[in-house]
Amino acid sequence: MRPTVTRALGSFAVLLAALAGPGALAQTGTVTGTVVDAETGEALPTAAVQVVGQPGLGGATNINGIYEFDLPAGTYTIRATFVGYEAGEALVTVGVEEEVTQDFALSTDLADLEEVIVTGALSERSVGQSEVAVSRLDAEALTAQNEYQDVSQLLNGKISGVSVQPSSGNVGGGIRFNVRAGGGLNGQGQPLIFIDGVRIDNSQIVGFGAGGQGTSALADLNPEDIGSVDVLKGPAAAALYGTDASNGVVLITTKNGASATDAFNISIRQTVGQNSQQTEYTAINAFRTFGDANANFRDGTILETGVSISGGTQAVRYYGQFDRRDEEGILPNNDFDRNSLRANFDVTPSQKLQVGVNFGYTQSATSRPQNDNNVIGFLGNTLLRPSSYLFVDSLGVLAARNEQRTNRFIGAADVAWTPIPALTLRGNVGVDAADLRQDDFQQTGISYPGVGTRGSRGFYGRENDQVSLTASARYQYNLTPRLNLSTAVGVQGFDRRLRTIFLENFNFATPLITDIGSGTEYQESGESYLNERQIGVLLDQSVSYGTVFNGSAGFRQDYATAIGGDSPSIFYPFIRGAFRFDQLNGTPAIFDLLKVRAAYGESGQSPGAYDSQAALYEAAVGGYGAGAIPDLIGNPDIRAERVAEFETGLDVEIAGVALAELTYYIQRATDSIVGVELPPSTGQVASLVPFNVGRVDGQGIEFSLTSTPVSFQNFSLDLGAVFSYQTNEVIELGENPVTGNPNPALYDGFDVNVIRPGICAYQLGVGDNYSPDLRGDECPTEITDGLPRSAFYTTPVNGAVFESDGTYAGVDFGIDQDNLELYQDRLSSGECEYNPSSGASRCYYGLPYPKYNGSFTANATIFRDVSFYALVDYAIGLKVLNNTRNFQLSFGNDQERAELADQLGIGSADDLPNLTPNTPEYEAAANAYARTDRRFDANLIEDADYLKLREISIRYSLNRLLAGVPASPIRTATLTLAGRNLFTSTPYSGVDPEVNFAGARSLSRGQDFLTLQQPRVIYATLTVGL
Amino acid sequence: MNKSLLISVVAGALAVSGCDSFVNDVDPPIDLVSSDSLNAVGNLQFVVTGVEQRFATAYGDIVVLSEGLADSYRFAYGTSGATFPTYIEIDEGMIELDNNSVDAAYTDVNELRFLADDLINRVTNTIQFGSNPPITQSEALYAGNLYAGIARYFLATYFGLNPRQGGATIDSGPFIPSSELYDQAIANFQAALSNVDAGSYEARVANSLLARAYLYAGNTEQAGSTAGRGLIEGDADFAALFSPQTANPVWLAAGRGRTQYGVDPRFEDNEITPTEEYETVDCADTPYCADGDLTYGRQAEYLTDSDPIPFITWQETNLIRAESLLGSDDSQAVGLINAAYDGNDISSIDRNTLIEIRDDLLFSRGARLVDQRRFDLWHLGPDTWQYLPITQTERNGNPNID
Repeated sequence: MRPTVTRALGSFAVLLAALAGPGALAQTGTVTGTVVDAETGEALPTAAVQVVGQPGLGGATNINGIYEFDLPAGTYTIRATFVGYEAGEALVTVGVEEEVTQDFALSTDLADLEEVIVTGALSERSVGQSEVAVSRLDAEALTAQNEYQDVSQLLNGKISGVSVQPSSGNVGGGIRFNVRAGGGLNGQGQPLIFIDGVRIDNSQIVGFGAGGQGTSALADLNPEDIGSVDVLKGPAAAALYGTDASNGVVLITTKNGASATDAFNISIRQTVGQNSQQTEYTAINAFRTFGDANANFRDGTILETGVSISGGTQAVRYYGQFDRRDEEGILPNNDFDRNSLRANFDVTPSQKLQVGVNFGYTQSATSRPQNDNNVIGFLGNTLLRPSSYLFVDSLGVLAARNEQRTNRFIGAADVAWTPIPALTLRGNVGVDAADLRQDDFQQTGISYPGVGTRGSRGFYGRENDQVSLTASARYQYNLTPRLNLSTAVGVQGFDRRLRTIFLENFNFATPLITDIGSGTEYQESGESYLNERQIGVLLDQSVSYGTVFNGSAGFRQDYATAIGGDSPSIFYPFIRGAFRFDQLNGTPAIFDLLKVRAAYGESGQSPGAYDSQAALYEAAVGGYGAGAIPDLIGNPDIRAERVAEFETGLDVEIAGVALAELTYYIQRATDSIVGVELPPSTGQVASLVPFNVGRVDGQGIEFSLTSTPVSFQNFSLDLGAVFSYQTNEVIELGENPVTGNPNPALYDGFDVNVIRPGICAYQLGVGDNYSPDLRGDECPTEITDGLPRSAFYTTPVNGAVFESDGTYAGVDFGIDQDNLELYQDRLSSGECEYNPSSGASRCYYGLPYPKYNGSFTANATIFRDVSFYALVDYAIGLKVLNNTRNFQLSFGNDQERAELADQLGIGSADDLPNLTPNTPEYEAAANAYARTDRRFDANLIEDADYLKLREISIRYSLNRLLAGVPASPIRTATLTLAGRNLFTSTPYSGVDPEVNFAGARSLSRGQDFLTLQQPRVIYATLTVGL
Repeated sequence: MNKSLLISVVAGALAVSGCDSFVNDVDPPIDLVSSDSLNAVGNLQFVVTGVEQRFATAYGDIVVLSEGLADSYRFAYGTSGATFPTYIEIDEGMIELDNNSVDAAYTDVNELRFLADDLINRVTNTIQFGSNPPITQSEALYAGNLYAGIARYFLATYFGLNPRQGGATIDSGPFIPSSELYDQAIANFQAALSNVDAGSYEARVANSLLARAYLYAGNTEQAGSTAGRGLIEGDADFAALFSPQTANPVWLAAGRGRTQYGVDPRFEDNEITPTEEYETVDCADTPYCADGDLTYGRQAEYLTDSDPIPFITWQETNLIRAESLLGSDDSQAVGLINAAYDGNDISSIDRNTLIEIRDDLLFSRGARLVDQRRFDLWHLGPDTWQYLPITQTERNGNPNID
């Protein structure tokens, strides 16, 4: 261990010792009693009975529901808890050598209010006590009812404020999390993800981009291994996770051993399924070639086999699983195979010590077809031009391969030790180590653009090793029997080492030998290495008053690597509280839960590890040898972006039938890191230059409702609804450090997604010096609102212009003096801008992510053996830039434009009668024709709201039948039929509105660019327990 | 309690200092180096090579786009490699300001300008030259000024604020018309000359570039006299060099690497044009062809990804001299042209012949666009661009232009 680490940990130990203080047990008495079901009176074995605020004091009930333990003389609040029941609490006073009886009758907890969730890096609370909106996903129940390929499918549509956008329909493809209002400008907008306390790699891995898609590191995780997922959705909850947690934290807990009553269980699971084309192409979206495009698709087979064992004793619990999934995508050359192995152990040698060790190993192989922005793929060759395979022959498309193999180990060890009743020490250390290799082939003898017939072979390797460490101490003490205080300190560290290497050769003698060394024309090679670290010191001071109030406050002091500069040190505070009105006398008994909560917290987004360097040069290899060329332009003054969030909410459970959660949040990102594209004339063009000049505000409403309106022995119905509204506004982009003028709006590579703050509104008579960029007193009007991040913003199209004889003359676009009135309202509001000096104008055309989204779920159980589950999700206020159509228009493969041209008499075809100029029909056709001109992005931005029948399943349990079979070797069996993406309703003219070309991370979002549609999936699964 | 508090404070302070060390005690990158570390004389050649590399890519970009805008190249409709709408815009002269092909060229040229100026600054103000340095200060100043001049020449010749207004910006400043940029280029070339021996090959290269700058700036007489001190028969071409790692952009966009642009059909009928610089491609002979009747011409100057692109040659220097003599000493002009125009002797010269010879001899080198402007030979409509536009990226960020 490095000296600095040793020094830090030594200091930490001293701090813990200082906090511990005296705590030896004095003279004792005994508390005893029973814990039973309030309705039936049945004993509840293994229920926990503990002293509130003193985790080492307490016991568990035996088979008869009886508990007993000793306590130092005094007055205590003791709490009885049992899974599926609401907790019971009582105040007891114990005298020396006295035995006090305290019985508990627990009511069933339909809303799982007593389920313990993670509410921060140092805190756990029951759902009923949580001061923040934490969403827990019961992954074990979901995977028992349905089938999921990866974690993104598991999460999508289940949690208010969180949606997951796949980049494409490739199996193993990249994904993007959308969490709340976005949490800042810098970074990739993604949450931190922990598995069993280990911070894992959530990168989009590109390598050979195969058109810009990338793959997701999350594809390596087997959903069947997951027990539960907790999502902290913003800085108010995630402050103690520090830098990079401004987009929330996803905490995944893998399955652990079964209860102590089952020593050994084995479960075998077999799934067969099929991926198929969800929507066929038609003449509307693939004019002359839809038949060829549809012919690309295939039905892909899915086979998955899993074997799991679990069990345990009072002292040891274990869980293990092997799972193999072989899956074919809906296009050739798209396959995904994954072998995963997991072994989890929990050991409780004594009541004071718990040790857990979790291992997960995954070996996966992904083949990707060439889709999206390239011309050697199936879609590029059958959608763009009126004839197919003009870029590359169909054999060449098939022969272009990209294969990726990953070996990944994620392991964690954690220890919880309670040396004295008031003090709990915890430690967790974990590793996420992944080796990835991509191989890229273009077959010799077949002609490819840029390669010719020489054949190409590329290799890309990526090693990512990251170690995370968390150590903490919590000391609890009671000021009064009901007033419990708890102080926790901790340290959380992270070390990442990322190495990449690539090599590419051309000119292979034969396709039979693909050894990269047999390519006679060396193309290029390269390596990179990144080592970055973060460490934070954490403090959490909590207070609770009985079950009525919980509150906490604290901070994290965070440090992050800044190579070549001063490491940023950031202070992130938080404070939060929750008040349970239902625990007060006088509150109507119909409220099982009536809780008001509020929280404030700060988090951030760190600059890149190299951002504080003024300039970094690479060695560019070319005809002159290797020379110094700028690669990164940085900023020595860069600081971490800060995101503050306040959230407040109301949680209500009524009569054990319905639980509603309503949350409002508001976020403000300051010192936002804006990548400024300096004007090319500065020569500082190697990269965007980071500056702390931005500010973004966001807010939203989240609502979830779970209800059990019908609950009989032979029929029950659970209904759920999730709704989210989110909006954000770019407030400030600061000034250009070179020019001293306001930074211009930031655009993506297609010049259509924008980050734009408010502008100086245009009004008639603004004067010759007017510009939308004017600020302060220089602006003769008002500064408008900013636009939401990544908004579509482009030149408006008004229709057609006509020659004097009434014939079509071109496109009437933009704002000018002749059509100002049409745009006056939008100019005043800032939705449009107009610069009369240059004639340039743009208008807002919507968002590439939904403004409103959510889902509805229904889960019905019939005759206790048959359960039916369905999830419908929707997105409203979503737009997609149809870049596929852009190129179809360019190459003449668009039906609407061809027919309009024919009617206007300007097309090459003459199938339709020509319209007469100066007639309404002609003018309408001309205007429509102008709106198909590909040069204007406004013509390509489409409504893409959707409603999807995302998940549906029916599950039949044979357990009751098997119970009647004497000495049956099979204890349990279930059969599940499930489907995914079975129905979509959308106005989008493409085949799938849920596309996000290159958008897993980049500013380009909501773009359809030869992007593969999501597959329709059906499954059948048989699970047998022995 | 006080003792505990004190221990806590001390421990906290130690922890904080330890954290700071922990996050900065990391391994450095292996593929990147800071700008400051290039200020050692031992790394100077590495810096000079970087300037040369950027020159090569910038020039390659310029050739592709300027020949595409001129009447030399035509977008190769119907061929498998022709997919960039940005190239169509350029071919038609209807160029949107956000054309990312133009943006890439403008970016490369400006980075060349920055790197060359930065080289001059390092050499002049920072780098310490001891005895027997691996590269002398004069050699480095020659390179810096030569490429600084070339960058300004590119800006003056190929870019414009409006369709018919040539010029560019430097360092986010106000628009500089072409004439002023040529003046700056000339100053740089003269500074380069001051750092080499007058009779050296390097001096002849600088003089040839100087002559061409005078010519395009409209000073034909001075161009001719300067060209007289330029490259002479037998001198090697001053060319942009490429390799598979940095492929010749013309080969990659208008050649066998990928054919987005073919050549104008007029070349196939050009009686005085040697045929080896062009090749006729029969679509039916290519692997994937929708139109079996389609044939098109394609440049054959650069047949591999590593073929160099001549930037200035003794032949072009002769043509500059000949142009300056046109009408005053035609016989000497004919001699100069025949020396340069190997195997295609002419007996007389006039303006049109000179244009045609320049069209052929300087094919695929970026000269045709300038000649069409100089000799009023524009082939597109009245509102079309005769320059590559200063792109939206510059207009967005530069407060001095709209």
